[in-house]
Amino acid sequence: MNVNETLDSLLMRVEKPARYIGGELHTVVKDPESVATRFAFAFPDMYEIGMSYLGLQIIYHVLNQQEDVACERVFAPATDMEAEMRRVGLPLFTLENKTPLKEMDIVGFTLQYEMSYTNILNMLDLAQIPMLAKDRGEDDPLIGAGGPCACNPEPLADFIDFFMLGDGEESLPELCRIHKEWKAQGGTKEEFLKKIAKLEGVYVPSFYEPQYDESGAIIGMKKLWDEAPDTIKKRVVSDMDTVEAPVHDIVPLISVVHDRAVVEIFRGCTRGCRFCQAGMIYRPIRERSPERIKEIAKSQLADTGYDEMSILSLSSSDYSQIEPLVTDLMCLCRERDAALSLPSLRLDSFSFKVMEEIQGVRKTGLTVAPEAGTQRLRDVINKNITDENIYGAMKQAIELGWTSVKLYFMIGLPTETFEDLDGIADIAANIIELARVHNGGKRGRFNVTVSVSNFVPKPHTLFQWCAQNTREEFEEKHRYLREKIKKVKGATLTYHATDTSHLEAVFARGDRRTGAVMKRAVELGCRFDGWREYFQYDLWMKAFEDTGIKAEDYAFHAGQIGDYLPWDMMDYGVTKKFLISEWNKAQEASTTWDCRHGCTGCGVKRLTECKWEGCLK
Amino acid sequence: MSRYVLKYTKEGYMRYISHLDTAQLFRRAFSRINVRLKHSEGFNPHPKLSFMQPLSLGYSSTGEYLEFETLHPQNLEVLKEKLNGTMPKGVSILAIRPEDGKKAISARVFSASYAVQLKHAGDFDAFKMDMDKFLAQPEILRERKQKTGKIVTQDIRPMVLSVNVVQPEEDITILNLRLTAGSNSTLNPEVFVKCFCDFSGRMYDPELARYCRTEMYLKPEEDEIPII
Ligand code: SF4
Repeated sequence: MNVNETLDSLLMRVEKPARYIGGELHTVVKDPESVATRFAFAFPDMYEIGMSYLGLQIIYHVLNQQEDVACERVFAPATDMEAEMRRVGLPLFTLENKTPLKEMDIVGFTLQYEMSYTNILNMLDLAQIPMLAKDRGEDDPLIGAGGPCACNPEPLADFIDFFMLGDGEESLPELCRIHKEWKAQGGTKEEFLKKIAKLEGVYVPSFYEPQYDESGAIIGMKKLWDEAPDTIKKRVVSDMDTVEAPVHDIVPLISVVHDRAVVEIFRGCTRGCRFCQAGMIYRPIRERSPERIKEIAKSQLADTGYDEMSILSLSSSDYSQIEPLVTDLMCLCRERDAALSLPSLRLDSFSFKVMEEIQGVRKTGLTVAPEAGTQRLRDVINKNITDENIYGAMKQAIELGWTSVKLYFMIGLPTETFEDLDGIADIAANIIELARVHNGGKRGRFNVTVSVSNFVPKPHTLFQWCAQNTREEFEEKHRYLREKIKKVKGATLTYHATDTSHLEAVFARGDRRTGAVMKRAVELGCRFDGWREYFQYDLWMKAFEDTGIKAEDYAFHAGQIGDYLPWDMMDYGVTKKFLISEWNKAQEASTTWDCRHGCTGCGVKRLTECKWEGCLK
Repeated sequence: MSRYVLKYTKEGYMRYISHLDTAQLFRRAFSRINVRLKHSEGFNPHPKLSFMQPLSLGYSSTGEYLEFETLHPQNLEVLKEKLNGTMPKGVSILAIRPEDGKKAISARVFSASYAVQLKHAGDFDAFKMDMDKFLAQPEILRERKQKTGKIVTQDIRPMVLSVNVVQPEEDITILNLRLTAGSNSTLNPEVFVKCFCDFSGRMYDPELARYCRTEMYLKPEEDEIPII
């Protein structure tokens, strides 16, 4: 089948055909004959989401820099395109050379969120590649996966040949070099997997077998090959200045979620919020120098022609030289008629000043994330923001003329009581009161949106031992909050669907057995579970029923500190000892400082150097 | 301030880029080659680019036009070369010329020519005869749904300026059409082909039809010559 011809006959039948054509500026199309490794970077969601993800641009750039490697892209086709492809039997293909995925050497999926897992299986199926690793032959591509969710790879272990933990900029080229050698020698897939299992950061699940006790609880991992490593250490890029960074970003031909140039300013965050997985698995902090940031920003704007630029990090205000940096970047943007956008800036006098300058007249959509309604609960989760911080910032915002504020909270956090929910409504009411006082007794247009999300316990955080709230508990809390917020004039409440949060909890902490549910769900038609319009909870319930796996055992399970956890083999630097001590402190609502004031002993030092340790002392 | 008209092509997979996305593509291209465009006035200023009648998604074109204004005068040969160096495959700049007419070109465009390629269109002579009969009608009526949902009847015969049918190879029929494409009257070639198929009892299969806009023309009183 000629992919190009068949594709051309389908494109007029689907929405946004440009999702499937490739050919964007700065894409790299190499002659397949000229390389040793053909690597497909697979993003298990739609084009518009994947193309807004910086990691894709990084990996694409890093791999295509290698002379012997060709990296091409593939995304999950939308449901209309999938139906067309299945109708005519067109297998999933890469955008660059329109090569069927099954002809690639390696297909590497990025794992950004649990709700995209079904898309991975569906993409394999659409590519006419068997979903289960054990059903694949020597001629099928090797299937790999990496990204934040690789920190608990077990739910995907039956489908993926190898996982890569941590930063990929260095490990992926190393893996491709091993692939080239292996290919030249003409070995078996198992031989390749044995070679890469010795590469730091690589986990080959087929070399391990989970062990369960009579009750069905997981008690350990049995090695099936003696030389397989006992633990898998995540890879850490230690110098953000010397590591490859993309400058010639691919510029999409259609509008995507974020149509803008992006510069990463630092990796990691050490504020130590106890619910936050990113704050644990991306340690330590590694800043990029202002010179290098500006250099990247400049060439990105020049090479892409974007009219907007954004900085990326987990908490931009924490960048040690944020004020001069932002000033310089604003200058740089102004020269090119581009706008600067600054997500994740904390609200302080500097950020207000900057917003005044860049936002001009549009004063809606200010966001603050107190996460919990009372100081007690904020101490439990180590979210270091005080009432004074919140109200101080809001007072300033109101004085500057902001009329709309969004507050983010989580519900279902460990130790939460209804008093904490009252606190959420109180914060909203107090902010509105501030506006009323400021406006001489009238609220005017001022309004507050309270957005609550459902807490999902995540691996590698101290809350990994906690149960998630049940549906009834969440619903009761939603109802309670609705009543409370209703009484606050000018405040509205939005909250997330409980069903999605439950599934997220199952797969976040799932073990290898949960893979069967996922496969069944895909067979039943589940995909794009992160999209409200495609999410089909009833099919998921049927998948659980058909496979005999109980969602409750995973989502609502509260573990003991001593339990073996499915992700215990994955070493992200932060030790269990540290998590236990944090757990004990959380019980007493006692906080832990940011280690930029001095090391708090999380353990990541074993893997790399902490250059920013104590920098705020 | 300098005003220009630019002629470009849109072929291959670039047929699937919408009108709005094409505008974005050009805005970014100008920014990449560091040519600053004049911005519109008002609350939300944006670079001024004006296109002609939008090309339907899926149509290729060898005669698209774009009017723009730069802050500084340009060397047109250099500009053309630079733009071509930063365009995706499928879009190429054919020519650029200065423009000084008072009225925007987009407002003066009157008609466009199209080459429509039909596969498996059946016996060529019969096809031609049917076409002659089709065009010989005093009026060609078709029903059209307006944006409001109201159905109106429209005579498309006056919108058809010329038709020429050729068969360059076995089983391929090409219709060279000249249809109105201005602000007062615009006929989409697919509508023409569908009406013809209805008239002559043929099945219309969009998968077997390929549309290409080949040129655009100004109002007759300004000479019916291509814009560039
Ligand atoms: S080892 Fe110490 S300094 Fe390094 S990230 Fe952990 S707590 Fe911070």
